[in-house]
Amino acid sequence: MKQNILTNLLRHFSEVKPKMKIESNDDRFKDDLGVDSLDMAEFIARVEQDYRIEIPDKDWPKIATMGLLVDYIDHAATI
Amino acid sequence: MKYRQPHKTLLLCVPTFSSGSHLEENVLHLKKVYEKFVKRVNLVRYGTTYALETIKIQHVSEDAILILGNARRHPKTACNAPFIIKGSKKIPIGWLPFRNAEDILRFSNTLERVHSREQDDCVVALLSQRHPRFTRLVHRMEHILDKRAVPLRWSSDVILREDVVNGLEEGVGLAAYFGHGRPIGWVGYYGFRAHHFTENTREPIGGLLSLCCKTASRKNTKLSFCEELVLNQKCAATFGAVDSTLHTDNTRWSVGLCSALLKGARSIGDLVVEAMPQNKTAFASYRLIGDPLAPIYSTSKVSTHVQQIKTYS
Repeated sequence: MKQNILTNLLRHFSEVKPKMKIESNDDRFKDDLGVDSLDMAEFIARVEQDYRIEIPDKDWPKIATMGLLVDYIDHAATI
Repeated sequence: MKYRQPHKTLLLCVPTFSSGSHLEENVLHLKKVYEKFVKRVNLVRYGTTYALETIKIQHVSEDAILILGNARRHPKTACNAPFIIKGSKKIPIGWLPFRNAEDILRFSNTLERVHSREQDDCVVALLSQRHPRFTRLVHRMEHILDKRAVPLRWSSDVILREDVVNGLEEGVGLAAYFGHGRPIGWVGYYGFRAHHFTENTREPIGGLLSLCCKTASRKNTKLSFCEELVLNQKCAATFGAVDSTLHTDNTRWSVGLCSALLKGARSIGDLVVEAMPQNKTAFASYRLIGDPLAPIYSTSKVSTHVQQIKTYS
């Protein structure tokens, strides 16, 4: 399940930032990868649209890495 | 291609008028116009006011709802969202304020013009204020929509307001604006107001999405920008906010719009319902003014013309 989510998220991420490679799932979007707030907003919006879930703005700090985002979606999907 | 909506049904919710009055005549005319283009129109009457809950319980097997009401009523209180939920179905609600019988007649004429057009291409005018936050958004949308639609990036950094008006008045099916907004219009294009459209618009726009703050609000203005555009026959439908909105929410809308267009949404109601973000803050402020079944496709002739409009990119 988590692997599927990860594959899907990586696909969305590569569509938003085609030239950026994620080396580790612990890389922080903002600090390590340099993803700015606008790209982050688009990425989150795509994920929300795909999974039909809501990621409130206040939760964004909790999903600072790809790994954390996978956990977040996995948790949201099971609720 | 002539694409009509013979499979669609509409609930037309109107006040009770005395028989033989101009208002009554024009409402019946509006119903007749709709009947040319959709499968069924169900006309329901209300007294002094209506309750959405009652409408929801008693009616609504239809695909869309249009509520007509006195223009003294603010869009903010006319509905509480651009749709209602019945079962698993989201049904778009349009609000049409009228000041007099003439407004209803003019709206009927707009409907007739927009619905009877050929619907060949998905031409989308992507409008934005001149600010990297917004221009980048429309740039992305242009890139995403490029393969399946005819996106026109007409952000304020590459085109003059006069040319935007010219282009839109060709009869573009869909336009979407991102940026700052006010009850009287958009901040982009060094101020875009309803009166910037020419007096006798050549062809009305199908649907115009104003993804910014307050363009359906009436603060310090008689009619909001979104209402004026519909009542002045510039658009069949507009979509705007009655309050402030967040850029993150409008980004969600932009992603949803691309996805809905790629999935093949063909009317403004379908588009809005399909594109709607999950979080309440993103949609609760928005209202759909005018025809919820307004087609968002344009003729191939329009598509050719608008692509020749000069931009400075």
